Amino acid sequence: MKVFFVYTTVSLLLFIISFSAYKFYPEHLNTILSISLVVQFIFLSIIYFNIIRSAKIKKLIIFGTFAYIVFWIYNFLKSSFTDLDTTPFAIECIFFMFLIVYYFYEIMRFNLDIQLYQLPSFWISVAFLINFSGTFILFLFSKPLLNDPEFANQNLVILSTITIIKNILFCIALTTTKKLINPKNHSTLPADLNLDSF
Amino acid sequence: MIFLQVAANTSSRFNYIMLFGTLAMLCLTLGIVFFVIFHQRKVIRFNDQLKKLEDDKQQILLNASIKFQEEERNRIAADLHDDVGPLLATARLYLNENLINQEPAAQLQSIFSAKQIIDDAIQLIRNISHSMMPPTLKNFGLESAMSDLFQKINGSGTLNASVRFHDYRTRLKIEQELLIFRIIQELVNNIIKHSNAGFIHLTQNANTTHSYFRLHHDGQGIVQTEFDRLNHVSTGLGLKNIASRIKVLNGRIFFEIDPSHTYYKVTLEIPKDSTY
Repeated sequence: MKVFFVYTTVSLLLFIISFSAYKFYPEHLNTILSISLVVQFIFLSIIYFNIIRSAKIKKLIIFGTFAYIVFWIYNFLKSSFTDLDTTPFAIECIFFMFLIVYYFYEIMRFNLDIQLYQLPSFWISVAFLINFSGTFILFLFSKPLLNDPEFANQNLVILSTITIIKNILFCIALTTTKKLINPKNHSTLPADLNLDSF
Repeated sequence: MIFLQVAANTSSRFNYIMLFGTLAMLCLTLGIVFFVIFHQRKVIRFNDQLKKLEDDKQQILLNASIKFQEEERNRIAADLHDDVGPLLATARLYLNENLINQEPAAQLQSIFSAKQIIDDAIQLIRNISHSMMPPTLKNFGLESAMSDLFQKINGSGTLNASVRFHDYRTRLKIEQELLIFRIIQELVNNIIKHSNAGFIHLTQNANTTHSYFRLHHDGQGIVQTEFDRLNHVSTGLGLKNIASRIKVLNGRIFFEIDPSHTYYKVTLEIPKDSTY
């Protein structure tokens, strides 16, 4: 949750910077949006690194993050900054949709003590999954249509709706409280206590 | 018609594709989310059913405990009625009113016989009392009582039995000790009867909050799942008594097999500050 708070604060700051750039320095808008994308990727990686249990997937997150950063730097250096390149966003969508679905698999398999809707991470994941799945196709095929006013209107409606849903789900995540259903029956036997020498 | 219009305009066609594509993705996402939620609810419902089964099991244990108490009372009553009663009645016969009119030698013989019978009755009452509360346990504690029990088993020569208490500087409450003694006695009894073991070792250790007891044996043992299963069936009072005693002690019991598969382990975890 701490990482999530930092993420939302940084997102807000990036939004303010993007909005200012849009108003005063429109030529730098694409650069700022591109930077905000990689920042979002890093924060989401940290969030899912903390909540996913599987060691293999954790390794995949670390590897994926480094690979993404390398790709982003390469893409950033070769881009002309005149058009918004949506490929890194599409990669981010696929990567996190996979992670979120895996996280759902994990909570279905291991989370037997807490009701699902009492987990803040569940609501955060649903919010991100809706956000990514709703904007994935939009960004993947939007490049040839960026200057079409009809597309821009439609794009605005979809993005606004998804952002509102995402923020509502974030609010739900912040208000949820954990409540244990059954305490687990674990042995309290300390590992170093000798019970095996006769 | 709509499709023809759409096809006429590439831009509009792209817009429709993207709109439907986005909607399809959102539907898929919602499908996944609802599947996860419903699956979780199903699992929780299943857990509730398990909890209900657990409650039923507790009821069976309680009934077994009551039945055991009744059987114990009946046994004591039978011992007193069938053994001590006739002995005292016989002693009374020897010491009747006619004794005063008998020859001194006959009087002496009657008194001697009555004394013998009263001694037998005392011994019987002592045995009954010892079976209820072993005197070694009461006077010297669990460690001595266990050593006593294991020495007797060892004395038979068929089984190697040993006890080692690592940390028993502070005695548990006498009620706790008696329950632990009964649990271990029952476990040892089961091992001797059913497992065909060559050795039984009892070890004890403790930390600040718990006392731990572990029985090792190399016979045919059971693991936790089997213990849980046997606890759910209506037959077999011994394991149910163990489970109900463990419950009274707020403790836990774990039946395991050693990773080397050479011996079985039964571990008892008893909280020191049990409210019992």
